[in-house]
Amino acid sequence: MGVNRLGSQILLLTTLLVCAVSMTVLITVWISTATYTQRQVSQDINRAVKVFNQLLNERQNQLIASAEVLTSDFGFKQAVASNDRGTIESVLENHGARIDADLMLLIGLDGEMKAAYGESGITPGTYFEPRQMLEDALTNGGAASFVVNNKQLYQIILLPVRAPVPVALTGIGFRLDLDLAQQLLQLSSLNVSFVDMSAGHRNVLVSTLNESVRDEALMASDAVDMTFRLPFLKHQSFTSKHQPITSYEGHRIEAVLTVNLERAYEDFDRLRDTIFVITLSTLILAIFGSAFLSRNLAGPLADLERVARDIARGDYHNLPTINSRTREIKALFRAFVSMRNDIKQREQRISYQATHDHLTGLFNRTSLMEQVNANIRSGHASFVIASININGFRNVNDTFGPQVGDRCLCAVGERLTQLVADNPLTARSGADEFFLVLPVPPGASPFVLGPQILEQLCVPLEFENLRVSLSFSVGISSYPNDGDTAEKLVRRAGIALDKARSSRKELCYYQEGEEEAHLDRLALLDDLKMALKNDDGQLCMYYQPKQNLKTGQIDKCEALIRWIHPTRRFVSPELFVGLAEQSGLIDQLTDWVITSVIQQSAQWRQKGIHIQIAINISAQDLEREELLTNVCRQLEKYALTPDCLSFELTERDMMSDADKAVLLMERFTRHGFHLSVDDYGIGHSSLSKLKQMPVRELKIDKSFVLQLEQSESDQIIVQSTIDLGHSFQLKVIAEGVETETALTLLKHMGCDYIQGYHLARPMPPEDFQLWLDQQVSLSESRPTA
Amino acid sequence: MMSRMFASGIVAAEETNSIRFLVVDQNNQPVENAVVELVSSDHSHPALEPARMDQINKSFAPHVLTITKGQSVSFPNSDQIRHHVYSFSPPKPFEIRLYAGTPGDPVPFDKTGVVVLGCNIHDHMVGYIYIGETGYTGISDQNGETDIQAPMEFDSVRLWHEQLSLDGQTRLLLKKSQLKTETSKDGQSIYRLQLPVVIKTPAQKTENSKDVRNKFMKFGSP
Repeated sequence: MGVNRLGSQILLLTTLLVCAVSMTVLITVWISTATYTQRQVSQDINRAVKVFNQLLNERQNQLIASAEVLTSDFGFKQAVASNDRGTIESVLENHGARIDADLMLLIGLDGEMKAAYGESGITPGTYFEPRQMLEDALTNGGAASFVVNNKQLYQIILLPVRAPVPVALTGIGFRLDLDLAQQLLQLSSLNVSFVDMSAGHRNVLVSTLNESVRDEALMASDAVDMTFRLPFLKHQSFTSKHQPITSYEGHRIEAVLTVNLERAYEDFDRLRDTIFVITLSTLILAIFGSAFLSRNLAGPLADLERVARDIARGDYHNLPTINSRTREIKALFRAFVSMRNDIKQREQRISYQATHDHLTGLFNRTSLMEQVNANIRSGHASFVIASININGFRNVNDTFGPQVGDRCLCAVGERLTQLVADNPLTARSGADEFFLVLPVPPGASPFVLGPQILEQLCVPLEFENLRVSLSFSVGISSYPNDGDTAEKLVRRAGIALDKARSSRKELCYYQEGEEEAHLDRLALLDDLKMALKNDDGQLCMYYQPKQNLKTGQIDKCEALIRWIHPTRRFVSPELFVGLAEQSGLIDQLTDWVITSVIQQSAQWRQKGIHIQIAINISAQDLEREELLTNVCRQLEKYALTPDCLSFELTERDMMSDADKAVLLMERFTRHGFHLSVDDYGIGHSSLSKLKQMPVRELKIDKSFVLQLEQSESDQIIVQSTIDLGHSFQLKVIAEGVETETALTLLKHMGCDYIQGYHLARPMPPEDFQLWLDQQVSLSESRPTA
Repeated sequence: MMSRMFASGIVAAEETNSIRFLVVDQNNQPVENAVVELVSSDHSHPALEPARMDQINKSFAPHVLTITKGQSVSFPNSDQIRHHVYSFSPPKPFEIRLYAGTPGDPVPFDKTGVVVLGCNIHDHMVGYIYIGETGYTGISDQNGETDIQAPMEFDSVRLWHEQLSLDGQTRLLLKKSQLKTETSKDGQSIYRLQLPVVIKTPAQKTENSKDVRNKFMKFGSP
């Protein structure tokens, strides 16, 4: 198991701590106890030796006392003086018995044995040994010593027999046998051995030591060595003090006092063993305790770790129960559970927010695509994706306020959802754009679904007292015909929607090839951006003259943008201007046109050409305030007057929001610009609106003019339009005039201006100038009628 | 003092000449209480009164008493306590059991030699009776000198001192020819008698049982 694990660390720490503490205690106690014990044992031994000596001295004094009593007995003295051996021996026996002596001797002053009693083996006539003791006894009035006699150890008291001067010496011997040695052992707690060293070798006379250890014990050192008594090692078993107890030459008897150190160290050994046992038990306890602790701690921690991993993986269900009595662990576990629940809720919320539109509760575009993809993968039957846009939703917001707008959005979402019985797949993407996935009923055509959607939506919405009528544009793509991925289908539905919007239809289906065309348009748009940015001559202005039929003068012209694409060559203005309008690039384009036209106008003015140039602007342009400011600034720069420019606005742009358009257009007229209604006749302008418009000119759409000589109805329309314009004090201009006949007709109808191929095609400025010069020379050569 | 008085008393009857002796020990120190006896082939036995060995203050008085063979000694007790005088000496073992005052008959001493007297009750009491052959004896004074009045010449002298042997029985016999003479301060010739031992003064000899015990070997003492 790894050292980095918590359990192992606890175990290691505890074990080390306990080991260190136990070892410190063990070693400290051991050393001090060993030192103390050694000193104690040595002291005990010294004390015991003193006791032993004291015992010997006391015994000797007792023996002397009793011997003195004996020798001073008058009867004894009398018997000794009698010199009768038989009498003397009987007295020795008698008096010896009185004091319990084992050996009684009567010795002449010269050392000769006169009589003996006891287990002496001494025969009269021999001489007493040691001789020195005899002399000591006579000199000092007595002597005591240990004497070996007949292999027995005797403590002999030698006293002179005084009558009253010494007449003889009496020796009184007390045998020192094992019993006495045992008594000494009991009193002094020393093992006592009496050893005769006279012959130069050790001859043990009496010993309380066991035969088996006697040699070892007697050889033992007289000092107690310092020892720690490590277990399983050989220790000093004995210590022996050697004490000579005779000092006579040739008589060397030692008392050997032996202490069994094993016994002396018994307590120490027991203490040592106890410490060992305690240390070991503490260690085991510590190991078990920390193992328990670590299991109690590390186990739940490991469980919690698993829980944390599960949570990290997003698995909130697999929650083990943790059986721990530890309060902190329980608290931690509760915190984990609470954390898990919070994370779960938060994740659900975030996930909901990530996949849903917060306002309507519908899916968002991304999650719709995911689900569509999932449906496709799971082999779903055919379905359509409808991309639905609320037309002019901004107006709703502006008119009724954002609250109503939001309610409208929610209501639309609801309605869309109601279209599908189960698992409706509806999404809101962007402000007013919805997606709806609608399964195609078996056997039915996808084309029946579009009207269904519109039918569902067209009913006006009612909120309290408010009734809101919305119009929608719907683009539909269908699976599997229009694509096999959600991205493709959504994109193509979007293309269909764009188509619907740009063609102002309610419903468009995606048609094959449209995407390619769309992409092509996108590429073209990119190129247009580049052309505008670089201004490298790809874009240029052509001018088409307008002839005043009353004067025959060419006093106006229309500026028309042309784009010569590097690879596509001529690009239709309808195409790229339309693209620019859709993509918002129209602002830049118009600015470019204005700049270009004003420069041209200035150029011509310098050359003395006074001609009013008409610029086409869109509804979007009209709304841009800075456009007018920009125009004025540029005119000022070239010192031009407003009458050199005029603006043409299509009837459709003008009428889509007529009231607003009037206000905007009046800004232009206030600055002195002339405005024309372009493409008049194909829109749905009401006459009352037209009446309000601050325009000076009506331009009859060329579709009425191109076939003028063949079509009587066109003639009627044109005539009535001219009449109408004149009745509103407007000039009328016809474009698309291609024949002399048409020109003649228009002249007769009272048309004010014409424009068309009959007069001249749109031309680059240089050609236009040349053409103008030609016209001047022509009109000079052929004066106008 | 006492010995001199007795010595002069013994020889008072005849015409005598004075013979002077000086007793010294091995270290040439004068020896007191040494007995000098003149030995001669012809000598008379004067009729002898019983001698007296008193016991005063738990001591024999005199310490050394010289008598002549056949003379008796009475042992009056001048102390208030009783004494038990005895002797185991070969010339005359005897015993006078516990008594006070003067016991009955004087004790006769028929053999020459030295009788050591003791008291069975008081172990330290020691007295000596020197039983001479001739009756011409002298006891040296504290200067080691003695004066013997004798009517005849002497062949040899017997010399005794209690410390000459342990049992007090040994007497030395010295030929007159071997004797050294020297002249004293007053011009008289003095025989110089030397003991072959070192005599200890009585003070040195004083001992009791406890002292004796201390002289025994002590165990455990260095």
